[in-house]
Amino acid sequence: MVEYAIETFELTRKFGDIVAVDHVNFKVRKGELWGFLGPNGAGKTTTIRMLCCLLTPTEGTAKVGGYDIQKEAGGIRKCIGVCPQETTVYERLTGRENVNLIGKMHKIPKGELKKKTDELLEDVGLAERADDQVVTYSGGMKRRLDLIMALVHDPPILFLDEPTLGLDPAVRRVVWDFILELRERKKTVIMTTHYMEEADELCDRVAIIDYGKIIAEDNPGNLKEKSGKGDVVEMEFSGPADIAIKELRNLKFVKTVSKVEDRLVVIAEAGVSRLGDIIETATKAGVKVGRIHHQENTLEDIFIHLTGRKLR
Amino acid sequence: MATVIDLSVKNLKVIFRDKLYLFFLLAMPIMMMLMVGLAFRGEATTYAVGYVNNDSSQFSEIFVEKLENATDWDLEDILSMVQYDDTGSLKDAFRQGSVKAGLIIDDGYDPTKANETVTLFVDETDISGSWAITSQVMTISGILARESPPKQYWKSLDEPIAVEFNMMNFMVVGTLSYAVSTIIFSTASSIAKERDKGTFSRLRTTPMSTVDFLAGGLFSNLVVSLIQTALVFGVAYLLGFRPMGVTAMDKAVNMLAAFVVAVLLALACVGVGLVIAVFAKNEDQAVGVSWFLIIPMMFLSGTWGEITEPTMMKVAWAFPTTYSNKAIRGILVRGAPLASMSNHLIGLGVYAAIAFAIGVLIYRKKTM
Repeated sequence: MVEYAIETFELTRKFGDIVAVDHVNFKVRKGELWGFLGPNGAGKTTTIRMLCCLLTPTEGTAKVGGYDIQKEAGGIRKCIGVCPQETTVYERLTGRENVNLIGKMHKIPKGELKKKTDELLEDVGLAERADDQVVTYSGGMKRRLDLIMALVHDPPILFLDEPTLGLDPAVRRVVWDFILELRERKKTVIMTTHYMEEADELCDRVAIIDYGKIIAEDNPGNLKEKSGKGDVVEMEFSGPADIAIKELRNLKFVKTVSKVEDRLVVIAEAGVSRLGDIIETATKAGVKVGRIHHQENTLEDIFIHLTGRKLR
Repeated sequence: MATVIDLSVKNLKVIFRDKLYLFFLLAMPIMMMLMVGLAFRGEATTYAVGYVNNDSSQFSEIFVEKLENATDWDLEDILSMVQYDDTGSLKDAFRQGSVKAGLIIDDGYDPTKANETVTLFVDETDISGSWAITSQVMTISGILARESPPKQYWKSLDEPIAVEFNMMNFMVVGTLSYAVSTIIFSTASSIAKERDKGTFSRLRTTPMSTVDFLAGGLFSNLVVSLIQTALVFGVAYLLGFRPMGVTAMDKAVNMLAAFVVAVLLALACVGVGLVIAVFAKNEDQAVGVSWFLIIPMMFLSGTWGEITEPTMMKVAWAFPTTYSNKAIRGILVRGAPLASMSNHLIGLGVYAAIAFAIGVLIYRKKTM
């Protein structure tokens, strides 16, 4: 009985001198929707490619569905479904032929494959266009097709690499609903994204990766708790920031203060009602405050808190 | 095997639904064969050859007589010998285009001795004529040189030299080689494209193996190549091309034998395409490298004309088309049985096997 769907052990991948993934360790429970967050180039896709046996680790290893990625690629390929970051469909095949192709690679019996294909095409609203060549599809339709191609063989473990990248909000919502349905069906889903709100909305647990290392891992609520509950106040400013940061940190209701590009980011309890105190403190410290934006604490703020950088 | 078939069918659908790509793969050989056929077809031509005979021996008389009487497979005269009194008159006639070639036989001509008594000049702007005249003169003088007395030899030559002096026969083989060779480009670009677009990676997350994937590419491109071959033969046939053979059955068998060689050539070319796809970093590079190989391969392997430079003749064996050109010309132009071309067939088979093995081994290594 395998307790975890995925376990990594010091998983590392180097490209020449560049360490893309640096001794990464994490575990994903069965049936969990696990988010992998980080900016572009942080190492998310490289990690996923190793877990899907598309890339050999330089050091360390991992187990997927109980199979070792270095020794048992055949077993892994049978139990995973992958939706890559780039849309990878055959444009000259129809939607149905694309789904069927993946099904045939998994040797699904003909009758069963037809039923499953029809069902999936219906689920994502592609049934009416199923017999049109994909070259005539919109970007959103291609992405939905991409997603169901990963599901045709009903795998217990799914890798979704930036599944909503470049989609408009309406299509993104359709994909989100589909992913949430996967969780209800007890699938283990590993999803990479750099949309914080996406991870916040969908994931049971998230890991944040930066420069190839995992810098935080927990459920979204706990992560937000760790970086400080409260409102986020972002102030555009000019002038010396160091004194202002020090003075702001001295305020009792302020949890954290960080400088991101030309903005001071303050996380504070009841930050909105205490906006006057925050501005006054900053102004007295010698900075000129410009536009102000405030919102509830998000995973993006956690990333800023952890790295001192914005995600996008 | 089912996986390979599924992948092959997928590849063929992708190819046949891309009209521009399809045009290039199928219309191109048809157009080339049409151009070649229309340019070189027609009844066998009799070429006028002017000559001056300054020799008084029976040898030179026999030489001219045999040239005059030389016939092709259909017993049509090849050469029409026109006598001139002196070299000046012959050269004038040549310049005016009255004759396609000039032959000067000096006094003391003896075919059994290498005494440099024969001069031949041809109109090299007429590729077909110069080739036919030169080969005929060289063949007959060579035979006369080996056989003495010459009359005894000619008496025994009941069967004519079985070579069809029709440039179209030569060019059909060339066009076929060219059409089949383009599969190198097609294979290399289609596989590199799958890698560029990520569809190969997607398939690799399924139980499909790299060998399945490459074999799928091999079979689908082979099918395209066979269609190209059939089209070239079909158009050539409509334009009057007929393979060598005494009976209709002989001709049909020879055509089939040539088809077998074309299949082997296609296999070897697909193998070469795989190797190019392996080394190319992207589709553009695969296309560029393919043509960088195909063009010199066409020239060096004697596709459009036999090469004579000794070193380059050796280099030519590095190209699969050298084997196929020799085998197919032997079968279609000289009526040689397929079995007699076994060395070339083995060469092509080995070529295909090695190329495929290298392709698979390196592709697996490079995609991890």
